[in-house]
Amino acid sequence: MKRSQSIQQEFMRKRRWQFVVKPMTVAIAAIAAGCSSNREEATFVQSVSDCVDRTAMNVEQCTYAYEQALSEARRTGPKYQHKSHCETDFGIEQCYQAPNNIWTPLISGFLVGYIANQALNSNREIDIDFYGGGYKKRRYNPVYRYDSYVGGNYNKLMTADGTIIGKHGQSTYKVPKKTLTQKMPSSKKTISRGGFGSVASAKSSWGGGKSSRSWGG
Amino acid sequence: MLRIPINERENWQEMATDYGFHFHTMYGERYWDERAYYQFTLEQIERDLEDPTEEIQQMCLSVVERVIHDDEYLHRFCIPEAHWDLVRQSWLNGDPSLYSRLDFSYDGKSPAKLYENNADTPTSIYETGFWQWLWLEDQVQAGKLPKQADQFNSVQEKLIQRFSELEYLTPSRALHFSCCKDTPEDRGTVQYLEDCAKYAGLSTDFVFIEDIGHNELGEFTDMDDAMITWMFKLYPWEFMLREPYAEWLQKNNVRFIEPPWKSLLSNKALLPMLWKLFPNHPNLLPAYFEDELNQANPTQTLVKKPIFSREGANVSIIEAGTHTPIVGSEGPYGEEGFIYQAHHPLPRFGESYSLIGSWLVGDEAAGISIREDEGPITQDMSRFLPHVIV
Repeated sequence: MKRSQSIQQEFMRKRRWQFVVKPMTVAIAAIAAGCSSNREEATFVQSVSDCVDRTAMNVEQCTYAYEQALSEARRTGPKYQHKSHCETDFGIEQCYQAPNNIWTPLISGFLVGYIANQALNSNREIDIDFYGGGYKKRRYNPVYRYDSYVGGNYNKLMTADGTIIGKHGQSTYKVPKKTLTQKMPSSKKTISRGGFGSVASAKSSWGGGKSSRSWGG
Repeated sequence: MLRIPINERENWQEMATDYGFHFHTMYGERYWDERAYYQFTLEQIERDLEDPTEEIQQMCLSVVERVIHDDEYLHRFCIPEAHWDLVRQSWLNGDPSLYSRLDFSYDGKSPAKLYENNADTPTSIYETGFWQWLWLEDQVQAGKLPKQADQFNSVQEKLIQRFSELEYLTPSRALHFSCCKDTPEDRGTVQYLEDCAKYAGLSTDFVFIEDIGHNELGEFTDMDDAMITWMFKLYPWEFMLREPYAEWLQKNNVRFIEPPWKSLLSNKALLPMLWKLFPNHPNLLPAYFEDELNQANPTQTLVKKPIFSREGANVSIIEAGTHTPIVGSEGPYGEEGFIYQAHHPLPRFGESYSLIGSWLVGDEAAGISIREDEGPITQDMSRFLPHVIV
């Protein structure tokens, strides 16, 4: 064969598919009950064992949290009419068929709020309440990882309601502010712009100012 | 090699919108034209185009090796003296190339003849690597073309592979893509290459050429004041080297795609140099510098081409012996001088003259594109047609 074996066509698509069911709004603040700020810190865990390793919760609690996240995902997660549309956003083999012929992405993990994590040791009351069943009162948001370049969200994490919480790979998430690429930060301010492009600009005035569509060839 | 009419896919315009192919029609004229396609045999592709493309690439690299060490040639190639070191250094460092397009006149029977090398800022790669590939898939699926129909086009696969190699050679830098404002075709081309780079796992960003800045350290910056350390620019070196920021180029730790040494190959002075080093090569046309015109066969019609020119501008066909122009195109180029190449007309298929673009990714032949024009000089209003191998 003299041509590319296969091209991931959905990857090349620029117009975005729409969710067929509009995601319900879930307040992110709910991950940290008792705290009204939506800038609460949360830990993103990828599995029950990751949850046990990286939070103060035990296996039983983490399993509960995982199941809650799955149930939340079924309820509010993104839904698509076609498998390919779902895979466009979340990646190949990252979607499964839910009831009613709806396609929905697999979750990448879930969020464990700060209180359910680190505050346990410092506050006896919360501690007792938490282990006494309080952990069941909290909401564990399912998290999806975008695999689409459309819309600039590649590799970003999104909760079921469509809120982008940040780039994949952080240990905790506060506010979605990480940019997509790892640019080299410069400590110096730009002092001048526009030093390239003048020859093209001079040449394009040839022929009555019809701008060229291309400086390539 | 045949030109065969075929029905257009009914929904192709809508698909073009979905895929972000916005320049299929320009100035009210078709650019992408799928009312016909060209058909090749595998032998025509491999023997007449693929092999010569890789051979000429090697010949071009020996021209660079020769010119880089010779001041007289650097003058002839119109490289500003202040930037000789930049060009030399990029070659001596082995700065890698991403891609090039060789333009050939080829009629399916006689050896393909090299017109020029678009080594610095080749365009029409999206149409080649993706869009004509998709056309073939669709037409085969629809039963309009036989299942075994193939295409000489591994461009996209090779680009993605090449970007991974480039990242390996240029580790831990984000790659900024860049082109000029108000150039939809260039913007589309750059977006495609950025998509391929992302697919290969590179970290990418975009800045317009006119928006590039520098800080007090002389580092180039984007609109977020972030440092540009690695850059793909769809903007000719011959322009950049003559612009105000050229003075910062050598003080900067920045890598470019294409690298500065490619300015020797996108240069029409390449053509007489190739003829000097590889005289009578079957895929070359005789070519001369202006002061060597006496070496040309006096009965030979010649084509006069500016050292620097884009999209067929300022090219004229001149009469044998008297050297008076017969037909020519206008444009803003020519101040750096001209070279002369033996006239070898493009083949005609029906009403159209057709030109083959043969793509290189790195040093490997990767596929072809075909452009048609109503006139004998292919310009920026030419049409792009798909092809098949049967």
